[in-house]
Amino acid sequence: MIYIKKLSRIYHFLGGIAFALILIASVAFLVITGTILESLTESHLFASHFIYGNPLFIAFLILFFVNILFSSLRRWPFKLHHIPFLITHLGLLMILSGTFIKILYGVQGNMGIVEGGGSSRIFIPNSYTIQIEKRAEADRNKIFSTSLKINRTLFGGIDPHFSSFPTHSPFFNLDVQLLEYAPHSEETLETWVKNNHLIIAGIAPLQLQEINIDSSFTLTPQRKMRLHGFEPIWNLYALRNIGEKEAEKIASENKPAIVFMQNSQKDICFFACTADGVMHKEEFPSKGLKSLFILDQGFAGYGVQTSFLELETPVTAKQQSRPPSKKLEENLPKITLYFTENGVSDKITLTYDRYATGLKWPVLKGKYRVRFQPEYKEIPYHLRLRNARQINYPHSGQAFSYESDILIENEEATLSMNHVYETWDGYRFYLANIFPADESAIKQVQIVVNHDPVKYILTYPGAIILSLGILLLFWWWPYKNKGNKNKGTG
Amino acid sequence: MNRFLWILYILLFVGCSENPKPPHSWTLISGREGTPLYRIKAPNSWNCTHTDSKLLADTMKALCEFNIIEEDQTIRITIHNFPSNSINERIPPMAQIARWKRQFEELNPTHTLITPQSYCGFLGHYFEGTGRIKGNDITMMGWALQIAPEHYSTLSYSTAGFSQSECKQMRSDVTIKVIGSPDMIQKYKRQIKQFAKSFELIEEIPVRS
Repeated sequence: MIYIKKLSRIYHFLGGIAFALILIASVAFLVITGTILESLTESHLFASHFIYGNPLFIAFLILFFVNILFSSLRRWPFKLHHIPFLITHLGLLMILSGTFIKILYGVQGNMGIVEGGGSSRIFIPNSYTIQIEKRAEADRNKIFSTSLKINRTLFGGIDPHFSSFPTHSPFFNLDVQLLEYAPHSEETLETWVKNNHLIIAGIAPLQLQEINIDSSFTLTPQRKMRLHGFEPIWNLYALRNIGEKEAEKIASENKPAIVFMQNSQKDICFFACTADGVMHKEEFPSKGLKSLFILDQGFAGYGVQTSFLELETPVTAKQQSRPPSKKLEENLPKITLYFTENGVSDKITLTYDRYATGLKWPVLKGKYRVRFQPEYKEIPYHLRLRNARQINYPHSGQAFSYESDILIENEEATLSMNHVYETWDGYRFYLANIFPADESAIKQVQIVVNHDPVKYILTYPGAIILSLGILLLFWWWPYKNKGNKNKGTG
Repeated sequence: MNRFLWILYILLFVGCSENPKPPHSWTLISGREGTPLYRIKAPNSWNCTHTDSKLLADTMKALCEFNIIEEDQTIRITIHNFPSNSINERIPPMAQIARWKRQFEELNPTHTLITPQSYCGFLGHYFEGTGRIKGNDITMMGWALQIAPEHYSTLSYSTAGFSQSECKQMRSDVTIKVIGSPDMIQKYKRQIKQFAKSFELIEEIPVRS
C-alpha cells in the first residue's frame, strides 16, 4: 500500500503544474545559456554541442512528454469539458513525438555537386569517419570501401580510445588505432619544394638558393642532368625569392637550362629554355594542385608534372597543429592512425576533410587508401547539376540571387535562395552555396538536404490539433455556459 | 458602368499575359562514333539534320545542324565536337573564337562580345559579333566549350560504365555556331541562348569521390 501511495504521489507530481513549471524554467535557462554562448563564440556548433545536443536537453524533452501525458491521464475518467484540454495536449504530444523521431531517423546533411556531375550522397556535417578503400584482387577497377565512425565526446572532441576492427570482408584482417588527436590543424600539400629542397623524381634533392643578381646572369648550375637518355645536358637551378624576369633571364643565359624558382608566396615558377632559345614557362601555385596526376588510382600516391619535359614530383601532405578556434565550425581536427594487418603496420596523419573532396592517401604500401572525412549517407534521390549561376542586380556586380538548375531523378527543377524543392515523401533540397560565383571555372554547389519522416504524420498535424485545442479552450460551449452561469449567479 | 469595369479588368489581364512559349523537345546528338552522346533542347519548329554517321569521323563535319527558317531568311546552327587524346592537344576556346572573327571581312567592334561560360561541366567562351561576311550583314553567335580540366582528368581513365573510346568522346571540345541576319538573330536570340545553354552530355560525368 505504501508503495502504491508513493507511486501515486510520483505520478501526480510528474503530471502536475509544479513539475511543468520546473521544466519550463530549466529549459528556458538552457536556451538562454545557449543563446549567450552562441553570441559570445559566434558559433552555432558550440551552442549545439553544449546545450541543444546535450543529453540533458534531450532528457528535458522526454520529461516534457511525460508531464504532458500524465497531466492528461490524471483527468481520467474524461468528461465533455475535458475535450479542449485533451486536444491541446494531444497536439503537444504529437509535436514532441515528431521531434524525437526526427532526431532518431531524420536526415540532415550537405551534398556537394559539381556542374556536369551528380550525387545521391549527403555528408553529415561535424561527424567523423575514416573512409578506407581497397581494390579487389581479381578486378583492380572494383573498389571496396568501408567507413569507421569515430564517436564524439560530450563536448565535441574525439573519443581518444578509438580502435576498430572492421568486421566485414575484405577488411576483417585490418586493425586501426588512434594514436594522436589535435582539435585543430592546418594541412599543406607540398609539391616541388619540401624542406627547402627541390624534389624531382629520379634526381637527388637540390637545396634552394638565394642568389644576388648583378649585371651577369651567367651562373654555375647546381646540377647538370641528361633527360630521357638522349636529350642535351640541361643546367638545373633551384632558386628562391628572385623575380620571375631574373629567373627567366638565368634560364635563357645558361641554356639549355631548367630553373625552378620559389617566390615569396611559396608559388613555384618553372622555366625551361631549350638550346634553340625556346622558353617554356609554367606556374605552380602554392594553393591547389596544378597538373596533378594520380598513380595507380591513388593507391600509389599522387604527383605533379611539368607539361614540358614531363618532370615529376610526388605530392605529400604536411600537417601542423594549431590552437583551436572558439568557432568550432572553423576547426579541422588532425588524427594519427596506426594500421596493422597480418603483422605489417603503417602510420599516417590525416587532417579532417570537411567536404570529402580531397585526396585519399595510401597506407600499408598502397594496399588501402584512406581519408578522414564526415560520415555520409545515401539518399533515395539522385541529383545532377546542370548549371549554377549568380544573378546580379542590373548594371552591378552585387548578387541579387543564386540559382541552380538540377535534375532530380530526371525531373527538372531550379533551386534558388527562396525556392526549395520538396519531394512527395518530404525530402527537401535547399541551395546553400555556389562556388565560384563567376564563370571562370566550373561551379560547385552545396545543397542542404533535410528529411523529416513524420513531418506530415505527426509534427504538422500536431500543430494543427494544438491550435484547434487552444481555440476550443476559449470558445468551447461548456466553458461559455459555465461563464454565463457565473455571470447569472454573480 | 459595372459592365465596363469588368471588361476593363479582363482586358488588363489579357494584356498582361505572356506569349505562350513554343514547345521544346530533347534532340539526341551522336558523337564521332555514331552513338548518341549529347542532347539539346530545341523548339519543335526548328529543323534538325544529323550528319550521316559514315561522315562523322571527319571533324570538319558538323555533328548536326539546326535551321530556323522564316520566309526567305534562315538562321543556321551547327554543332561540332573535337576529340583529343590528351589535355594539351586541345584547341583553346579563344583560338576558336579568333578563327570565327577572321571569317568576317569587317567586324563591328561595338557589336562584339566575348564572355566566359560555364555550364553542364563545360568551360569556355561565348562570342557574339556583327559584321560583313561575303558581302552580307551577318550576326554570329558562338559557344566554344571544353570539358573542364577536372572532368577531363576523370574521363582520361577508364571509368566504371564507360569504355576508353566513350571517355574520349565525352571529353571532346564542342562548338555551337549560329549565323544569321542581324534582325533575325535579334528576334531569336533569347531562344538560341536557352537552346545553347541546354546542351549537355547525355550521361552524367563521373566524379571522383
